[in-house]
Amino acid sequence: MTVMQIGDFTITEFVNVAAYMRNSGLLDYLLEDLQDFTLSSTQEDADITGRGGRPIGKKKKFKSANGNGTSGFISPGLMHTQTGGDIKYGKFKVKREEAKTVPGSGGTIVTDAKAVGAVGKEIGRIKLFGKGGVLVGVYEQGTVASGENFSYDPATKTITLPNNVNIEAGLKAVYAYEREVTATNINNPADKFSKTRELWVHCYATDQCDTIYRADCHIPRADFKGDFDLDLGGDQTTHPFSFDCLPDFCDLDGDNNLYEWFFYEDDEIPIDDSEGYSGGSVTAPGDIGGGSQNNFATEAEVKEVFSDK
Amino acid sequence: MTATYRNCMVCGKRFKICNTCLKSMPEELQWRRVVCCSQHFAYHLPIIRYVRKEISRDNAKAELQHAITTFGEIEFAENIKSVVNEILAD
Repeated sequence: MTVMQIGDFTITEFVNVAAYMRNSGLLDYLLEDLQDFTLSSTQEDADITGRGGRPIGKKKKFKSANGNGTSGFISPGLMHTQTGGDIKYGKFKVKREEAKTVPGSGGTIVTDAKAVGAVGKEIGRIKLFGKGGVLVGVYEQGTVASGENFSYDPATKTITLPNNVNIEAGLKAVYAYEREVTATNINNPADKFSKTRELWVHCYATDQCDTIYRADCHIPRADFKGDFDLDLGGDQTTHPFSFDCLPDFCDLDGDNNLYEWFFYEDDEIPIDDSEGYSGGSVTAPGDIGGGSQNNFATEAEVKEVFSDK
Repeated sequence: MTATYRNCMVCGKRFKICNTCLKSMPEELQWRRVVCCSQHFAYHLPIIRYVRKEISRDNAKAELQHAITTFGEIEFAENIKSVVNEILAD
């Protein structure tokens, strides 16, 4: 019998992270463009001392593992795992503010979208600003346009400005309204917390003989943390995440693993063809799928190296 | 928090707006944003829908007459008196 066993190796390419629901085992989301990913293991050792305080042993405790990484994309699936919220798709109301130039007293302005809301208060209020941002006037929405009120017709999206001598052409009208859009909604409820997922981290490993293996890290119970920052503006907005690895007490096998690795050659799905392994070195984020030519060892050569002679 | 006031779109009386009351009903029917009392919302709807050409003058007149019959005659705000007269004209 030939025993296949990987020797020293290096992780040469990170492919993706798949998150599965703990109860159903169904795929929840996939993180494909991770910039970095770290899996850390810790253990606390306390000295057991004897005569004169000399160490005579170690009391080992608090064994734990945790992971963290950064996704190049903002992932809705990851976010709802971190926030404990829901992902909904449907019609929602969003607020929009506009600043448009006033054509003159009694003139009209067309809103970019149809304002919705209580009949007669779709816009509510308009502020008019002059040169240098000086506030010239504030006007309320009325049933009809008058000296002190403007009117709004949602059907034509038209604001009719008040007939008022203070309103001159060239002023800037600033107003806000709600409109209805079809959107994906991801929330962060104050009374719900981050969730736990089963993770599979898929990588490629290369041994000293340049043989390519699939390297899958299984984290049976990743308890995601609710702390994450989305830095908007400036550089690229990334989506960081972190989690603690917990023992899977639901596992009847009783493996008690915080994580486990699987290394295997893949006969069913050849690495070089299906996923475009780019050969040898770690690729930049997003470069997965390069598909360049490689010169992997043949299966026979690999078995020769690792065969149990 | 400072309360926000506005003039009732029907009678012109100053009242305190509430943007969070009556959340259970459709937003377009949340009268506390536009009129001072629920009764005045019955006057408000036919008037503004007529102005926006959403309903005919006959329909607006019928609805406004119904509101007047149900809740009584009121003093309309100055800026809508001409529209009300137009609706109620024979």
